[in-house]
Amino acid sequence: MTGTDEELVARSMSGDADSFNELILRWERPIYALAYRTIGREEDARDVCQETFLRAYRALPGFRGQAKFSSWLYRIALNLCRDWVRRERRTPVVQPPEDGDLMEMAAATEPSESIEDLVMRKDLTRSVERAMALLPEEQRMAIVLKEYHGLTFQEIADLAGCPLSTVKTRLYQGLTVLRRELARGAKVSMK
Amino acid sequence: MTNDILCGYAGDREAMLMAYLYDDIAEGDRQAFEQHLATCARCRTELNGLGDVRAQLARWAPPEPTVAGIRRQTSIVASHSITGITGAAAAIETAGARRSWWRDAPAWAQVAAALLVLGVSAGIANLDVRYDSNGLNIRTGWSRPAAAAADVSASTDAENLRAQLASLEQQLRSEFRASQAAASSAQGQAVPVLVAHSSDADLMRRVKALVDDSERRQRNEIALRMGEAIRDLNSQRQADLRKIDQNLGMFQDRTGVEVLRNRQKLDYILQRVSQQPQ
Repeated sequence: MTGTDEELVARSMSGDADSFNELILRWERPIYALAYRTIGREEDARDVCQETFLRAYRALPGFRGQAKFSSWLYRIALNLCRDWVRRERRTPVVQPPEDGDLMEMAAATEPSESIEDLVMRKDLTRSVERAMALLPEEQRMAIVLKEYHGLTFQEIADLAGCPLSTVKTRLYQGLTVLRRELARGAKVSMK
Repeated sequence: MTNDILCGYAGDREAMLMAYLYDDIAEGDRQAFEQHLATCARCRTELNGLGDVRAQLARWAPPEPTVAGIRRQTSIVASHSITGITGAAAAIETAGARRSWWRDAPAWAQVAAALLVLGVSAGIANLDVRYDSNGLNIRTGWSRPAAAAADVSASTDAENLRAQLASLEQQLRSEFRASQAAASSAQGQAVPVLVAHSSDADLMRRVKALVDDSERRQRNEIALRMGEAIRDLNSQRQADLRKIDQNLGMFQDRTGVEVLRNRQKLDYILQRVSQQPQ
């Protein structure tokens, strides 16, 4: 099934379940990735992803198309992530996933890549996760939306409900903390 | 080109750094900022540092989700009509609840539970499952005596089943005759033989139809349950295999770290040795 998001939304609203399934297929990975990078727990990210689509489905009759469907979906997911952070009453802890993404990395790498290279890449991933966990929620969200989802500053500002300049400030502050923490992590690992 | 320690940029430096870094900047602003960069080492250094951070962030990939699970559950929503939202919500919540207790149980318990369900179902339905040169053969039957469940061939089973059905029909027929005889003697009237024969044949057909229908339903039910159990076992097997892969990965990870450390130590020692005066 093909068509733009908006066409699929229109068909979903007229009762075509397959169209909504197609929207799920199209957006489940980005939404899961957004949730994981924001709250940092695989299980919870999966739940947020499911809940996002459920809420989107419920709210579909009220979707008027003023925003892009993806922006609307991101907004639902981000609200759910915020709820999660408030409910848990703690800073999200980005945990290295239990399942061995080293194996995935190994499968994805060239055969010539040595185990040392793999380990270094794995360490880097862990360092990034640890550093991201230190950031306040709004900085982390801004970085995730910009870095991994390619949203414009204006789109992030709309989603976050803040001025565009605030988005840039949050990004700058967040990246500066990451830069410092990643440099510190690299020094520790060299000792 | 100067080596300014302090940046003299007149505008919002942080905002401009971000706009330039992410290439989300108006053309006029870009040219102006590039002119500034040419004279400001501090901004250049910071921009390079932030670019390095971005390169590192690019390597951070979330773990592969069990998307099949997401899709299976969210598809429940889509399988309902747009007007059945409340029902869809209930379905998805119920599915979630079912998933959690099942997922929390250890693997051996899940397998045992699946086998128990299968065993009970088989017991209720008097299930006969065979796997031979003819492939997988599932049969169900009623009231088969334990002795008849002995190890016999598939053809013998069919004969036994037919014999049992015939026996059942005979039994029902004799009981029906007895009840008819009792009823007619009580009424003091003779029952026409033709009518009795006609009733017997009709009853036989109905009983046979009932038995056939019940057997068909049970066969379908058991096949369905077998399919579900096989699917659950397969998914559990895949999950176990993935776990094994993960453990192997972790083991390789630890080993790799150890190798790396040893190599670094060796390099350090060699460096120190080479630095010592002869």
